[in-house]
Amino acid sequence: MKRILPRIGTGAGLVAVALVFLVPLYWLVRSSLMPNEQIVAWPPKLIPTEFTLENFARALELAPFGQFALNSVIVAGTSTLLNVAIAVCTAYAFAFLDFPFKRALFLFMLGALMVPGHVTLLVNYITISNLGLLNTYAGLILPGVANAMATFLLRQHFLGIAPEVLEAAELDGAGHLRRLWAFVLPMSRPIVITVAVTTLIGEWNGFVWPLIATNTVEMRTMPIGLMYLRSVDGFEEWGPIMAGTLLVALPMLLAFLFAQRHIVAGFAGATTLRR
Amino acid sequence: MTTQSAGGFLHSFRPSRRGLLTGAAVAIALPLLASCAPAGGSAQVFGQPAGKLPSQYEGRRRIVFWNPWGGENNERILGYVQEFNDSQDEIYVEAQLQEGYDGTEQKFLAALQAKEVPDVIGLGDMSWPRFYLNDTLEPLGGYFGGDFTEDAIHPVLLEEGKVRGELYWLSYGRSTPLFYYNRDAFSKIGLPDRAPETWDELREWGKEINGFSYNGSPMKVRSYSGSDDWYIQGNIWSFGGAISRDMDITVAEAEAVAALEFDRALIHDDKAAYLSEDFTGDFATGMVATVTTSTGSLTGLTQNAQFEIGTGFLPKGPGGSGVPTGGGGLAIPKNADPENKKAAFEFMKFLSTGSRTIDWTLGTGYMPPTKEAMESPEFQTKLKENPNYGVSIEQLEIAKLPDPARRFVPETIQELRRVIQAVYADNADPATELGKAAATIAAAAESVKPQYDAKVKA
Repeated sequence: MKRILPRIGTGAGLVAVALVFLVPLYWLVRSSLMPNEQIVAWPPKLIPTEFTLENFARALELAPFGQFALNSVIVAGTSTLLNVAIAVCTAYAFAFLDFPFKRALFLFMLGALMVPGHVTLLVNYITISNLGLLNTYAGLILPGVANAMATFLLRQHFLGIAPEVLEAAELDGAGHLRRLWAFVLPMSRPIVITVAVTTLIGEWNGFVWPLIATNTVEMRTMPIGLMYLRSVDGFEEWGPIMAGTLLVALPMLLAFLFAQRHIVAGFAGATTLRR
Repeated sequence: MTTQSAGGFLHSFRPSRRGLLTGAAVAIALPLLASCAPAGGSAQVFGQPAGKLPSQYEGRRRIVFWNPWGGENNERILGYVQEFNDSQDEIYVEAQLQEGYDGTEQKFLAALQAKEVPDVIGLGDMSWPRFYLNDTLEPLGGYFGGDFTEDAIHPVLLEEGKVRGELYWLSYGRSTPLFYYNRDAFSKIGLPDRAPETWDELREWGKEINGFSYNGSPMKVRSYSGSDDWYIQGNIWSFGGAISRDMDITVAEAEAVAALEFDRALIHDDKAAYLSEDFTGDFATGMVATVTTSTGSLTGLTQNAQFEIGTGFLPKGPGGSGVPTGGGGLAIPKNADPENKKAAFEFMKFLSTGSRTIDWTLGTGYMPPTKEAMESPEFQTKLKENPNYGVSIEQLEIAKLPDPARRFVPETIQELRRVIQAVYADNADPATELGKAAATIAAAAESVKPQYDAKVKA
């Protein structure tokens, strides 16, 4: 008895925490599959009695999600690749190279972590506009490619790699690129995947910058698509909004599920810092 | 902010980052706006937002229209744009959807900084006055002529886009708040089939409505919006107060406090109303028996509610009736290319005439912008079928523009939204909150006052 009670307690706690995350997701899926009268019905129907794909059809009618998805894949994909490549190289330099003003530059980079996104919004907009890159893929991607958080996480992890390994590699004649590619990266797989997936999700979900930096329907990304479903001061059609939201969220949900194992390992690794 | 509705829970999925964007861009862009205003004389010509001219329209002048009306309305606008592009062979209009009135305003601010502006822009009633103050809007009077004169527009709606006799903003998608009630519930409860005459009468009726079991669940009297201060503007007038008189901030005076106190008492003393995330939706589901919301919701509500909807004028208070106008209008940025501006006006004329105006009105519930549309057989038939469509037009006679502070001092809207949230959600004291708001708004109004006195004040 004494042993079972705490177990039930733990179980109930786990279920409660799981529900906090699952209920909104369930609600999203449920609402996207129900006719509008059922969504707005009071008291709310927990389980739909009538299923329909109408909401998805309507969402696709109101906004070209196919084009938006293509744009999102290009923008988020390229962004993530560049982000990771730049962050890995920068982190390698901060972790293993000696160069003048290293400490100051590192502090400067940490400072970039503290600057909220909206402060740079207008400056970025004017810069991108002066470069003639508004409403282009380059304009969407460039302002986000330098990722201080990713660089910081990677550097901390790299510092944890036993120096003997790299010294041995150097003695065997391996240059920096080789040491990075053949030793550092394989030893840092979980953290690199973590950084890649969190960056991907962040870029995919980006709303404010794509909203400001693009004008035409051909260049909009998935999250902006949701804007096409909302009305200004009319009546909100929740069905298509929920269906659209599901379309936007699903790819990232899947990406997260697939990479989940690595992400857990990555964050666990990042907490055991060593200087 | 706490919310108390089924809709509240959907909040986390809202794509709108309006609050964030507003805060960010207002803070950064407004101080800079003054610096980009042309220093008198002819305006500098700015670039045009990128896009493309489809091959079948090769050789035409391309016009960019920033459209704030999303959802179904965007579908309608795109239809009119298509119709316009096919109706002639000189101009190609490209409509680019922006994020509602607030989002469009922020993007226009940024665009002015980047010197890249659209040729036509839909601006909300509380956005355009500040662009006017900063000399960024084109006077439109000179563009009228031929078969399209200022006389075509409903006089009240025309006047609202004017400053000192010159038109800067052509009403389009205009609205007033309406009092909506659930006819089915009213009849079951035994209330008369009309909107209450006064706020006191509403409170009396509220005692019978509150807790009434409608479709098996207890009904409340009203749901309130925490993100729109438009409604409290009207209520303040009906209690005899004002947000400001010219740039004198009067929002902490006793009458204005009494207006907010009425809502507070209905929510927290009577427990008959609440702050809702989707206050219009809650009315459609039958959770509340009445709501004050835009005429622009009429068509959507009529289609989606499972009961018959009644509408009426807003109830009166001790100060008489208080009905603010709102909604959108079309403007032309001063710094657009001169030839583009002419073409842009052609498009504005197209939107404001012919079958488009009637389709727009019937499809949304927004007020018909022209006399032609109001008198059209289609609209008259609709009126007979559903008299609700006529209520806003009748009410327009007693409606007026929001007070100057709300139109010219952006902090007013942010402060009032903060106040109504604090009072509706947390039972804060209206006098204290409005006192704080008045101080903030007055400080902000100081910097606007010189421009206001020079360019607006009669």
